[in-house]
Amino acid sequence: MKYLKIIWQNIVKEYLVIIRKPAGLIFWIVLPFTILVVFGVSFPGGFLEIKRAPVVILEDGNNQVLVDSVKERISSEYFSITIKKGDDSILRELVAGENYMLGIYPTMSGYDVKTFIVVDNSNPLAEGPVLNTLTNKLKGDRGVFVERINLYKEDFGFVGYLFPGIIAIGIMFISLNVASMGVIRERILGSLERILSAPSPLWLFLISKYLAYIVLASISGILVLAAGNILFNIPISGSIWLVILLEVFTALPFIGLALAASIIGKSEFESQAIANFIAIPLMFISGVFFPVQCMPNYIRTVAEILPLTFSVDALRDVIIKGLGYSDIIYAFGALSLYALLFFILVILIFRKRKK
Amino acid sequence: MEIIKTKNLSKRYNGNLAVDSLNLSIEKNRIVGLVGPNGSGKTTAMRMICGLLRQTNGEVEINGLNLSRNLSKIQEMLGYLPQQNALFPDLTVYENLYYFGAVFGVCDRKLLNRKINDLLEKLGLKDQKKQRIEKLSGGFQRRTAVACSLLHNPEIIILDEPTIGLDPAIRVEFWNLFKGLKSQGKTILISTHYMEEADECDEVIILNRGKLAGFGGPDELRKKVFGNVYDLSQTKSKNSFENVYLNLTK
Repeated sequence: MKYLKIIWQNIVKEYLVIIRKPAGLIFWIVLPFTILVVFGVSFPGGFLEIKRAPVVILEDGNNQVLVDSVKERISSEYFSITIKKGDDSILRELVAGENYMLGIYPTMSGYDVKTFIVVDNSNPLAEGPVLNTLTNKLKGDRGVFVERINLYKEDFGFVGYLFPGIIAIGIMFISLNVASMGVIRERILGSLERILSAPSPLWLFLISKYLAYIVLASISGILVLAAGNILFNIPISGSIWLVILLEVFTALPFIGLALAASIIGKSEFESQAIANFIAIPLMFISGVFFPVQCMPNYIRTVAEILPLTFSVDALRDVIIKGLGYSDIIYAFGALSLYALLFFILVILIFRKRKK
Repeated sequence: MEIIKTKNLSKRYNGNLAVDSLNLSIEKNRIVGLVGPNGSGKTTAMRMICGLLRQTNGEVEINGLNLSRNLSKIQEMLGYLPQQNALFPDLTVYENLYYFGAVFGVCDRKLLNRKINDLLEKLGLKDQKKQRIEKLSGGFQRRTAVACSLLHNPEIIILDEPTIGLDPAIRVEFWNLFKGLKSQGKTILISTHYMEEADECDEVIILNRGKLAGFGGPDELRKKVFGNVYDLSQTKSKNSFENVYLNLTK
C-alpha cells in the first residue's frame, strides 16, 4: 500500500511537471495532426501516384512527325512533357542533368516505330509507375517497340533510393536531438551562466557546440554509409570525401535550429519537442521516402527549398549518380545559407534572452 | 579605491522594477555582504554587475571601466558563483575545474593543473578529485563550485549565496577561505540569508523590493537602526544584525 502511494505520487508529480510546462506536451499532441496534414496535402492520391512526371522527348530534326505522334499518345495529366532538340547521345545527359524522370527518343526502323526510353533508375517512381504508364500508352498501338535504357549501370532498388535519404535524416535527427539538449541542460544546471560570465565571446561557445555536434552527426552518417555498403551492397559511386563533406553541411542548419529551440525551450522536454516537431514533417516532405515529384506543385515548390531536400538530393547525386563537387555546389550553397541564417538566429535569441 | 560602482542601476521585468536606482560604491579589498528578502533583487543586481544581464537603466563601473563598453576585460577580473552549483554532474571534480579553468582563459596546462591542485588542497577536495559531481555530497559540490570561480585568480569575487544549505562547519571553512582571499587583496561581494555571515562582512548592502534599504558597516547600520543608544554591552539578540535587517526591510 505504501509503495502504491509512492508510485501514485510520482505519477502525479510527473503529470504536474508536464502540465505546468505545457508547451512541450502541446507540440507532441499537435505533431500527429501535422503529419496527417502533411501527408494529406502532399500525397492526396497516395505515395506513388503519377502526376506531371517530368518527361523529355528528343527530336533530332528528322522525326518531327514521330515526336508529335509520341506526344499525342502520352499527353495526359500523368506527364509534364518537354521537347528538346538533339540526338540520342545527349539524352542520358539531359535526363540526369535536368532531372527528367524519363527521356524518350523515337526512331523509325523500317516501317516500325522504335522508341528508346532512358530511365532515371535511381528514382523508384521513374522506374515503376511512370515507366509502366508510359510504356502502356506507347504500346497501345501496334508497331511501336519500346526499349528501356537505364541511366545508371547499378541496380539500386528501393533501398538504394532510400539510402542517401536515411543518411540525411539520421544526421538531422542526431543534430536536432543532441543539440536541442545542449544549451537547455546547461541553462537548467546553471553552468551556462557561469560560462557566459567568462571573458570568452559568445560565438566561441556556440562554435564549440557546433563542432562537437558536427563530429557526432558525421560519425553517425559514416556509420550508416558503411552499413548500407556492407549490409545492402549499396555502391558509393562518387567520392566518399564528398559524401562526408555533405554530411557536415547537412548537420549545420539543424544544429542551429536545435540550438535556437534549446534557448527558447523552458525545459529539456520542451526543447526536444520543438526539435522533433520540425524534424518529423521535414522527413516526409523532403523526398527521403517518396519522390517530391509525387507532390502537388505548391507543396513541391516548398519541398524543393527545404534544407533536408538539398541534402537528400545532393547525397543521391554523389552516392548513386557519382556526380562531383561542381554538380552539387548548389546544395553546399543552400545549406551554408541556411546554416548562416540559423546561426544568426541563435545569436539574436541569445542576446534577447540576456536582456 | 572604488572597485565596483553602480549609478542608478535599474532592471525592469515585465513592468516590475526588480532593481530600482541602485547606487553603490564598493571599495577594493573588502568583503561586502548583500542581504535582503527573497525577491529583493540581490541576484538580479549581481547578474547585472557580472554583465550577465543588461540593465534597463543606469551604469556599472568596475575598476573605473564602464561595464557595457569593456565587458570581456571586466569579466577577466570577475569570478562569479551562481546560486546553483553550475557544474556538470557527469564530470569529475577535476574535469569540471579543468573545463572552467580553460573557459576562463587559463590555457597553460601546467599552470592550470597547478592552480587546480592548489584549490583542491585549499578547499579539501583532494580525495574527491576523480569523483563525479553527481556522486558527491552537497558540501563537496559547493566547494567545487567555489573552486571553479577562483581558478582564473579574479580580483573581484561575486558569490550568490555560497553557503546556503551547508552545515556550520563548512560555512566556517568557507568564511576562512573568503577572509584568506581578502588578505590577498581580493574584493568579495557575497549574498546571504544568514545574518551572522552579514555581520562578518566589512560592509553590508541591504536591499528591499529592489531598493537600497541600507549600506554600511554592520556596526554603522546597527547605530542607524538603534540610534546612539546602541550599546555593545546589550544582549546579543537585541543588537543582533538580524534585528537590524528586520528593521530595515520592514
